[in-house]
Amino acid sequence: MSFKSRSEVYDNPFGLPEQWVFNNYSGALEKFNFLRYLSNSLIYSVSTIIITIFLGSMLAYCLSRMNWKFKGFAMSYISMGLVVPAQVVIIPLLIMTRNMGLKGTHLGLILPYSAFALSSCVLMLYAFFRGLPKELEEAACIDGCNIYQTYFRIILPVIKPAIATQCVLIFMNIYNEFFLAFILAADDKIRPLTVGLLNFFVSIGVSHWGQIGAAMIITSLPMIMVYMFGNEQIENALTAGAILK
Amino acid sequence: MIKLTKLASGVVAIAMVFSLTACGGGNEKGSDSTKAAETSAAGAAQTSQATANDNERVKIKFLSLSADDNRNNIRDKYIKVNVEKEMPNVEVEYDLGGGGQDYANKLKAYNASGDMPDVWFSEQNLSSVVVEAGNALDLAPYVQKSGFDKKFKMQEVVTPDKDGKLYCVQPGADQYFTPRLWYHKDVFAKNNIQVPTTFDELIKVCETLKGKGIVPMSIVGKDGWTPNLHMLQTMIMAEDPQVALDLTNNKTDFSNPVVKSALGRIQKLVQAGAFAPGVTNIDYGPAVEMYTSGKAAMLAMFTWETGNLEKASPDTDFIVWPSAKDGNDANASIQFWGAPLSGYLVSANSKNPEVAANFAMFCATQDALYYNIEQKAPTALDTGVKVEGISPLLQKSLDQFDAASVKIPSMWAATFNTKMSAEISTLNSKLLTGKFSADDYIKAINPVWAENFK
Amino acid sequence: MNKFYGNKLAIFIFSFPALLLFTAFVIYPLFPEILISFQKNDGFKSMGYVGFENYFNVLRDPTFWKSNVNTFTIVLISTCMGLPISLLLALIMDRQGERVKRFFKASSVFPAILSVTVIAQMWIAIYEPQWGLINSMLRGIGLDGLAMEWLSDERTVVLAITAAFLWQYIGLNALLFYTGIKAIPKTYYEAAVIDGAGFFRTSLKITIPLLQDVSKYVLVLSVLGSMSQFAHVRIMTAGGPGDVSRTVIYQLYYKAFSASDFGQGCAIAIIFVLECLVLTVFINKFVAREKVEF
Repeated sequence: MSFKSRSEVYDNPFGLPEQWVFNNYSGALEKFNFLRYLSNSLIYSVSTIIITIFLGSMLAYCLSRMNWKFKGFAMSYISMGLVVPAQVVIIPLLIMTRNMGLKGTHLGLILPYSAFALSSCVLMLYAFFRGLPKELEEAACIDGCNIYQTYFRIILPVIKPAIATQCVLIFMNIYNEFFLAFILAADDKIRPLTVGLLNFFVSIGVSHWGQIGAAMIITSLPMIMVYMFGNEQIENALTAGAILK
Repeated sequence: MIKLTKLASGVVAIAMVFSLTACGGGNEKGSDSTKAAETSAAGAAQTSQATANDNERVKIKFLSLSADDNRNNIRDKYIKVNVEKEMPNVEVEYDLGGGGQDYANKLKAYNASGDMPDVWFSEQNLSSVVVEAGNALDLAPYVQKSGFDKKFKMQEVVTPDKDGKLYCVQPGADQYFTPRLWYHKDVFAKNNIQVPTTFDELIKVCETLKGKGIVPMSIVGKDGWTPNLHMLQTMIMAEDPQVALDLTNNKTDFSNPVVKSALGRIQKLVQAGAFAPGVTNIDYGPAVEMYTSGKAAMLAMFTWETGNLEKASPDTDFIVWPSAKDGNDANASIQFWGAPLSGYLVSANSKNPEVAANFAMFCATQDALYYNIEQKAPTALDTGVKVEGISPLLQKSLDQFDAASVKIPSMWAATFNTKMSAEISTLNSKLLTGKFSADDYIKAINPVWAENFK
Repeated sequence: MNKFYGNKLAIFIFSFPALLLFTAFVIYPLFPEILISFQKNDGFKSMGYVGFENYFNVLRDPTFWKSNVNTFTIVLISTCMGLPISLLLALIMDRQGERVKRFFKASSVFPAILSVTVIAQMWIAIYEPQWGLINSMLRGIGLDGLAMEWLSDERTVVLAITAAFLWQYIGLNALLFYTGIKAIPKTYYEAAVIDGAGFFRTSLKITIPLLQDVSKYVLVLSVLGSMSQFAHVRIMTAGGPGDVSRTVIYQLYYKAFSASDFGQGCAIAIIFVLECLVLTVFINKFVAREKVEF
């Protein structure tokens, strides 16, 4: 749709464009600071992935393998994160990030993102840890590894496929997230793409569908690229993970 | 495995490169603005604007709508450009709030966290809540001090309320916006259709057009937009303008028989097939496009689209909404969009109230300039720019506007509170399905209306 | 080994940071909301405590119940129809050659990586009554009677939104199942091959039982994900026509933000969280929990 001129979109929405209008792209690029928003989006996604995977995998391991009293409770507790609607907690969140001096910084969005991404990540990794044979740790234990060494050297590499999948999932969510970013990232310097693109998507007064289409394609492009590139890697990771067992 | 690590480091590296370039960009901009600050500080010293310390720029946070072209152009081409020249001691931080519900959410979140922008633009029903919560600054003293109030052709736009307070400054462009029924002259001529002068004729025209496979009337149906903003009121005024006036003054309620027959008229339009299939899901952009592309013969829309419509389809003309009752002259009354609290407001907690108030007045002026120069439309605020080249269509509309003896403010823009707006949107959307009775409508809305003025 | 798994310090180090982050940014902000649910509050200021009035109002509101029906329709369809399809896709995917597999995977995740805005706009175009894909096709094969105003008709609108939602995530769920299938050691299948078991028997007797943990994860994710359905509804119909296609979260959003009744909005949020907790407990109780040992 994004290669069509304004009137043509309406006459002929599904066919190929009769005239290729490339200035939709330059028009869309000119109107907003694409590179800055894109880099912000990547900063948010990558940092959230790192924090969530690091903390989440540890918790998941702890929940699935170690023996402690409040394990069951902690499990239900963390799954609550899947149902807390971000729309509702937004105002306390805003106040918190301000009080912590995180307002106007990338961290002010990364921490809430990570906290919200934890639940799903822990649940999935938990499922995978449960599938791992205990012999892995037993062997390491006999070799004299302590629990930390065992975890980081032996266990983590084994669940790489699950981690890779989680990376993709988190990336997808964060890259496309709008609501939290819209309220918490008010400063233009830290806005991600979804919010930067607002001018194109909000419908009132916007009727240039060609440009909206272009903007959509441009924003989706990094996702598609990461996916095409990452797809192979995940596939490799998956097979490798299976062979290990 | 190794590849995965490579990928990850690659992504991180790319992110870092991007962030570096972003920082680089930021720095350049920063040095630019410091340069601008230097020159402007020098300029300020020369003109002996020695009110404040010249070297210190006052920071103003400004939140504005960013979802429609008018708002974006006003901000980017007028406010941003001219503030450097006219208010050199002010450094503006722009916060883009999107539009509609997003904008309201943002303002609410800021309000709840005590973090209001210094100056913002909002429409009546949002502003009124902020004012009620005590978060808006009374601008009356600043307006009088600067003589801003003397610049208005319509004094009511800057008249303080009964408590002597004025919470909002506006350009006075809205007051001239009024809903019209636009139509394609060519389509009417080709199908041998006369312009309708009564509501019954309008129904006949719709039926004829529908029979020829043309969408008779394009409206914005999503969320009941067109009925919300004007069609309900239009249909009330088609029978008895006084009822609309009474509603805005809280002298009657929705059980008034005129309201019921007005709802009945909208239903009649639905049943006559006046609107496009799936109308409850048609957005603003597509609705206008449906008309300009010629798929629809008529369009129910405010005059703020005049320029665009003329440009997109030269055979465009408009009629005033036809009367539904003998003896009610459709030309005698008119509804206008403006509302006392639709414009620029200043936070009561602003650290620099005077500068913020001046900035708000500056914004209102830029807003008016935009309408005078770019839209060739008059504003109640006299900017000193003579509006030239008013298009014949707009002139025709303005003449009719001036000639109308009864001018009634839009209920949606000036009267409904947020709850009322939300509920009536739901009901209007239902009404457009044609399967919702006027009685149910009235039963549902009256309790909400009873609380509207509380 | 018990000493290994019972290391108190290690448990603390492993669990505390995540729980702290989670509590601070997800759970803690809920408390002010609980307070607000007992207030008359318009989102700008509180007008005093009103006890359970908000809760009563919510429970008396027919729209709230309708939004529940809609939400559970979406949940039911995506669990009872969506998940089996995803599982089947995963099982088939597992049996294909490398190239087909790659194609399968690429096309299954593709919808999920696009933003909801893009997806929703695309489906709006597909459902468009005059020139939309579905109606054009129906008319093309002479079924004019079936051409409907999909997103404006109260009979079809919820199903139409569910279809868009399903379409976006069915492939992703399939991929999650597939990751689980991949993790099953090959030795299990060797026995089946010797027995001469076919696709169905192998799947039914070996693959599916061994997928328990992953299945549960996908199930919880899918149930809770469709419970919280909001974005598609907001973009595709704005809950319309009228209030016909509102989900619980949309109703929450409507009350709290559109109608400026933040108190009722928060009450809905609390009720919603409770509903979800009950559901999660239900799933945990009835979907087997015993550990599968490979």
